[in-house]
Amino acid sequence: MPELSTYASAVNSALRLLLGEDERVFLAGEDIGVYGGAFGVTDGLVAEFGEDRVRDTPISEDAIAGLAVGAAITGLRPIVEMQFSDFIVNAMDAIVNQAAKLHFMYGGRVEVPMVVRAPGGGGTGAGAQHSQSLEAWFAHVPGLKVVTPATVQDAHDLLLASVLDPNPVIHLEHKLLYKTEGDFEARRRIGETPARIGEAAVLREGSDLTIAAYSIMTLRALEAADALADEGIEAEVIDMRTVKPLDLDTVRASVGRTGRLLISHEAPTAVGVGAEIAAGVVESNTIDYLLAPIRRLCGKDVPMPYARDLERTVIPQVEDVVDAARELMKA
Amino acid sequence: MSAREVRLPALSATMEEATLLAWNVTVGETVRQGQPIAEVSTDKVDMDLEAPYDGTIVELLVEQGATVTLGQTLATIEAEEDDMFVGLDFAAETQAPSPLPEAAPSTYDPVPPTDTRGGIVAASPPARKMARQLGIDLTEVTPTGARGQVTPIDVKSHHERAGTPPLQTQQPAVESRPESPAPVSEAKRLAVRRATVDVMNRTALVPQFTLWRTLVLDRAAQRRGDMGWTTLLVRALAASLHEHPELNAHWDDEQRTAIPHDGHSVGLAVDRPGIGLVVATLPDPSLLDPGEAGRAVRGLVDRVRNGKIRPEDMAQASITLSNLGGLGVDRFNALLFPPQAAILSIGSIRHRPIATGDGALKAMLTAEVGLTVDHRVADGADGARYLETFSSYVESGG
Amino acid sequence: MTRRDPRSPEQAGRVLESMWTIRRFEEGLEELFSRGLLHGTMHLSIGQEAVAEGVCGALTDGDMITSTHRGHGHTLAHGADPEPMLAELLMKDTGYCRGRGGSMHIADVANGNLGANGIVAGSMTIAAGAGLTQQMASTGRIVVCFFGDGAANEGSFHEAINLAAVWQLPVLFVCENNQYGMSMSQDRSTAGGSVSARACAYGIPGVEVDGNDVVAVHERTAELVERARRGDGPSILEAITYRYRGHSKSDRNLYRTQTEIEEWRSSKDPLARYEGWLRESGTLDENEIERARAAAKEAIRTAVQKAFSAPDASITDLEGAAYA
Repeated sequence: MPELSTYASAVNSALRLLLGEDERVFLAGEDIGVYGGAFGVTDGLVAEFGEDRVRDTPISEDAIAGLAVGAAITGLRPIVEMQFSDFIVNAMDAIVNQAAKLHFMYGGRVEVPMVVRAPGGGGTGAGAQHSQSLEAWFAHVPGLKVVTPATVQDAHDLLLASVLDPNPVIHLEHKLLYKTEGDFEARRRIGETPARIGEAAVLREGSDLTIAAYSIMTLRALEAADALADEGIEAEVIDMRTVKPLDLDTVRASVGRTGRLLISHEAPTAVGVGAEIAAGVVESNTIDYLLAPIRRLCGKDVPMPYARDLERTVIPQVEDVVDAARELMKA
Repeated sequence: MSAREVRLPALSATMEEATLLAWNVTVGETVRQGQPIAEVSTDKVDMDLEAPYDGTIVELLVEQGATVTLGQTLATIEAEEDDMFVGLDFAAETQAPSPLPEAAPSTYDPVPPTDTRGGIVAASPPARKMARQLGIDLTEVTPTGARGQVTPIDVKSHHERAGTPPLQTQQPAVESRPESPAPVSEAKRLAVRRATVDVMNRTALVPQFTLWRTLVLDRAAQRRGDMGWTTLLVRALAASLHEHPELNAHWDDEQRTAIPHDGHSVGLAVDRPGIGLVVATLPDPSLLDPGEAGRAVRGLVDRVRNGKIRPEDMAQASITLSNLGGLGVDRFNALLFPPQAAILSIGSIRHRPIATGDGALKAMLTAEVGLTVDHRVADGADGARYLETFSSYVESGG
Repeated sequence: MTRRDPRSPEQAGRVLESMWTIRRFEEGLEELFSRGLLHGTMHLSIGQEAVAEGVCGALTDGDMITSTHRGHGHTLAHGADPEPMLAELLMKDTGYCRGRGGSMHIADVANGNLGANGIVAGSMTIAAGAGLTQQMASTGRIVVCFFGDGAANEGSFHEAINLAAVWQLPVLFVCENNQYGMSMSQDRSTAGGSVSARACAYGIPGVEVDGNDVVAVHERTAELVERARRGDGPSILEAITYRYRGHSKSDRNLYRTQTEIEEWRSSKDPLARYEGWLRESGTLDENEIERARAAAKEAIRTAVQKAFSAPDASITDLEGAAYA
């Protein structure tokens, strides 16, 4: 029976299920114990599962990620938290040179089933070093998977799917999404999760244009689609849900029907995931169904400013999606 | 102790040969492993060649100034340590690797998107642009591209085959919107003409009559708001069918009975100047609210005019609306499109003098409609009753 | 009970054979390389055999190691078979990593070799994580993390050891100090001059040992391993040693003198020293010493012959192989 829950609660509930059902699972990260995590996501878990399973670490991102690799290859299922996704940069060797590569380098004889969770994104006035969306970095590394849940249910289901996956998964949450509310049904067993890494979801059907988005831009795209419908423009909204591997088939099928594609993500345009989606569409037969150039509506190529109005200009807002869609219909 | 070879090693990642500049040792000299025994030059850099083993120089095989290739033996040393690999055969045949299965399919799919609901004709972007500039309907172009798409060459040859556009014939129009005729292919026009002939030959066999009525539309004009006339008319046609199911059927000669149609969709006769008459279907518009119905009508007309017709646009209708009002016609008897049992014609909507019942004449907004009915399915009175319901609906503004 | 005690007459032969196997393996690679039969580069550990054998011989089966880019010795001493090791370097499908990893990434996780690493200090935090698993599952096993003097200046060194110390993980951090990074000598790169001295900053034991004395290395290792197994946490063992060959095959040894290399080779060679000790102490006789040497040579010869005729590395779905 679905009830209303917040995104943060949905993640918490998934962690609780994981810790409760699989004794190999443990959490590690900065301030995730008694403090409950910088965004309250791990609230109450140390009280329920103890300090052995929910471990506060020193401020050592490299070691946090590296210990996850070591624990994962020796039989445990670590879920480690980076307090802000920006701090993953300090752990890049452990994630890129180690976690992503051991399975391949060691002849396929080793698995690295670890999950790195981190909140990313701007809109909170936290400034340039605490507001980034770095999913494209990780998506570019063979051996990693990257998921970016947008909905409350996905924040739960995709985390479960991430832990079930035998590969290293980067699970990027958006800070502004933590407080969003939505219909939510807690799974009773980890294996019950219907989410599959690498599957996009068509959240809204429409025949005039396709909007492909993920994370917070999915929600903004849905809002924009409602506004567009009043003008007689029916937008089909695809939530990518996973950034690596990308579900290009769903995008291609949709664009084959609508002929117009608007891609939107918060991360900067240049060399972002949007470029990959666009390439995936035009390097297939779908190029013959395009009625207009593909349009990307993404973050501006600038470090995130502090001032609120400046910040709003950098990150695409609902109105921007509506404007871009209108223009695309005329193109 | 054994005689071992001193070979030119790879002194850099890219070197393939070197020049021996000078020997630092002589035959008979004792050397230690790592001791420089010669100077060589490679990749424009001078480097030391080191003795690979402890031992005594037995022979120097290369002269000063000579070019030596990678792996070539330059000298031999009587080494204290025996060659570990003496007697081993390095040329032994390598076992064949296991056969590789099929390579994974590439992302380039030769099969077009199977979901063609969008009705978009596959055409490469340059072809699409060219067709747009030339006013060519892509549905008429034969595609020869490797992906099954229309190519610019296809568009070009199609354009060259097209003759001058034929004279405008009197065709039913919708919503009196001006549309400039685009040059189209004679082949397409002829195809549509022939399709119309087939329908007319069939309808000629159907006994049909037309009932006339004048609609007074002043009130409707005010109350319809921003709902278009066509939208109002098609909703009225569908709603009236709900109340008069006897007209929503087709005559089956074999079973000698009227078989009810599925649903209450309404056909719209759309004029494509230079091409001909295309009839496309709206699913029951009386089930939608006016706004949705309006969008559906506009969408359908757009698709027909742009050649983006979808399969469901061609579904069977229960009744059709045919409108010549935009071309100045007051009234006409539309012919049935079998297997439909009814069709409604409408002429121009304009002010005409109407007796108001108290002996006076007034200029009222009127339109002349004609309901043509298949007499095998229904009689005059049935038609009249339907027309009454329809008229009330329209005159009240929907 | 350690695996191979160099002081024991019953086990000394195996200790000596293990050290000679490492020496012959590395020399064999050199020979193959000079004949143009090897691809890429290699980081040879000739001269450092006592560290690998002294440490690994002091472990018990089930204990784990992580290794470095100069890790053939560790890998062999911990029980690897020379044939799949050679096959790996010869890009064969029968290699430990099926030809996909190469010299710097040999691993056999199922048998306790958690892998050599091409990133300096790259395996230190991994070792800590593996130690955490042993602690959480109470396996009683320990993890040995080999690293070099250069790694002691990487941030990962600090983060891994600090975390291991704070959580009292069963990890022994062994610094194989051969006194040069690539070309950078230790006294030019390492503030404070000693790696083991840094241990006190973490509140853990830091022990220095003559890395070319296999008996001493074994004894110090056994003590620190026991400490870790007891649950008293990690320590740093710094073994002072020397590599005779350059950092890699493109090293022209411009940063050190031939005299220095000669000095270590002639008077401090770990094999010569152990054999001398065996003879003096009467632990082994000449025949037994010779037997150990011969066995090592034969093992490498056999491994080379077999590895050469193995099928080449091939791969069906290359992109798919990046994911489990």
